Amino acid sequence: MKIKFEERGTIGVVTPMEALTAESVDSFREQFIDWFAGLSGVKNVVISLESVDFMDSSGLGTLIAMLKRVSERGGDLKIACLSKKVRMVFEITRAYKVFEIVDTVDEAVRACQ
Amino acid sequence: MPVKAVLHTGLIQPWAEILGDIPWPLLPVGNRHFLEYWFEVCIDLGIKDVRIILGEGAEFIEGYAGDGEQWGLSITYSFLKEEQDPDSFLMRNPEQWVDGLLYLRNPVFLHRLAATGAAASFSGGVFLDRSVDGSVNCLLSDSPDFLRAHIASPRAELKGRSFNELNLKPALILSIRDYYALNMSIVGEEAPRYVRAGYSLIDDVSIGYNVVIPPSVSVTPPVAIGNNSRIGVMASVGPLAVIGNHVIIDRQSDLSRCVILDGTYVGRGLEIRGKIVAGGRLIDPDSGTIAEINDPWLVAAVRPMVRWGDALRAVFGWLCAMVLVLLQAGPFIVLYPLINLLRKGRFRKASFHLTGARVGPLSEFVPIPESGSGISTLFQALNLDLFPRLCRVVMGQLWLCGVRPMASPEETSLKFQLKEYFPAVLVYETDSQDYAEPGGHLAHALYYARFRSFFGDVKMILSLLLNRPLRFLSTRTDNRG
Repeated sequence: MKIKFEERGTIGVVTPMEALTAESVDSFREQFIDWFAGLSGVKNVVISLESVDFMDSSGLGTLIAMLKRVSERGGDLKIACLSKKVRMVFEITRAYKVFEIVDTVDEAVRACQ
Repeated sequence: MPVKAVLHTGLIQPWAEILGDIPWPLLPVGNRHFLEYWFEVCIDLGIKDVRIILGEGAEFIEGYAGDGEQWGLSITYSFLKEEQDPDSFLMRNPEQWVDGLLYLRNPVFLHRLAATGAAASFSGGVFLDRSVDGSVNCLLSDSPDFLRAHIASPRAELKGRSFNELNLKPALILSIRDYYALNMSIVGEEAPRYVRAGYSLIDDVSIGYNVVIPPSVSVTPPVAIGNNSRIGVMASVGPLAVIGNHVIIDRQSDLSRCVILDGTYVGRGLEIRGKIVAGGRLIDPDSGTIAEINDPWLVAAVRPMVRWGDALRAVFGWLCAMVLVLLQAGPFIVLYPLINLLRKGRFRKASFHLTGARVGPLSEFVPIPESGSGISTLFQALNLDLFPRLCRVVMGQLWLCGVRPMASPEETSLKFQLKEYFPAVLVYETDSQDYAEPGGHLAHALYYARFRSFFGDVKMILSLLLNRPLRFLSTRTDNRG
């Protein structure tokens, strides 16, 4: 799975480039864990879902697991740029109560600063 | 730059929680939903860009409003967590709102003072209405300086003109009594000011689509009846009755000065006056007294139709569980006493929510040591650790496939948030680990309830028969290595 990792000071921006499904989440999770473990200075993380047009239960579960990992480091994880289909998953599962969801990556970065 | 509207729909309103599961923006007011009146204000003011801030009931609100095409609006959505200050949303990106903003923060109803609706000309003006706690109920302005100042400091004492100058009278809904009074006012004297396409209020009666009214029913205006409702013979409806969607009123009942919310059944020969009925709940708006009745002879929630898919899943799951129990009974009777004797594992019991309203103990196998021994690994690889729970499926207390059962009493509050709950023996392994947090557990249960399928269940059963044994055996090999 292709993922774009970016650092903006102490904020990491992660952009998965394809759907988050049972087939792709293992790769997403492994790459994220390796990247996050290698950057001790990064505390807050923004996951940009602009290129994710579909997400299933495994994808959502992986995001929840990532939130836990980031929280353990004392940081916060924000979700940005939801497409309509992905937004529906957040609505149906009420995951909007678990995550902070913002409209753009810039807004998320600003909120983390 | 065009003026934009920001509508907060997700703030929890205690008065609306009494009325059941319907999010307050979708509660009926006269012959339509509350939210539609807000859209109407936007239309009257010439505002097309509408941002709805979602929270509680997000799914239903987006399902209703969609992209706004139905009203000629362009609706987009954002989220705000419960614990965040509603005004903080505007601060996220203030510059996008400063060219002009209609901001509806609290559940405020903008009464039309004239049939023509709001005056569209508000250029250069600042119109503001605040509640007693200082928060803005509604705000309309196209003054960048004012908007910048307001967004930076929402509680600052900035002055504005009254909405009355725009032919709009804000009324904040703070209680059941306010909500009831609003309905009576709209269905009564104000209804002609809010006539929508396809309706004529020449007789003070508004009746939705697909409504069955036999000739013997007496309808006394003013009355508003929603879609897909049915009224029994010799019933009497009105005056001043607001009836929502999917309501069934049985024969010879008499309803007046009342609000019947969506999905309510009103039994035979009842007389309901001056009350709100929400499913099986009868509410007196004056005193706030609530009577939980839910009796199919009196008032009750309309029960959803049985889903054939669920019936198929239930039968298939039961048959599979029965076969597995029969196959496992012999090995279980041999191996478990041996494991017990050698102290290589034991079943631990804990209390869980089962199907229906049942709560009971479920067994979980704990190997000793936790890393497992040869015999306990074999026991798990043969799925014998699931034997007691499979027996529960045969007894009808669990589903074969679904979500991890919720612990009682730790997760009771989560369980009651679920309309459909499928506690099961088999769940997706990776999912159950990721969703271990309480919020995650609820998310998983809601996801399964929405997207469950026969095909998905078959995949889980195949995973049980093929992957699970291999996983235990490979873990054992790794431990040895």
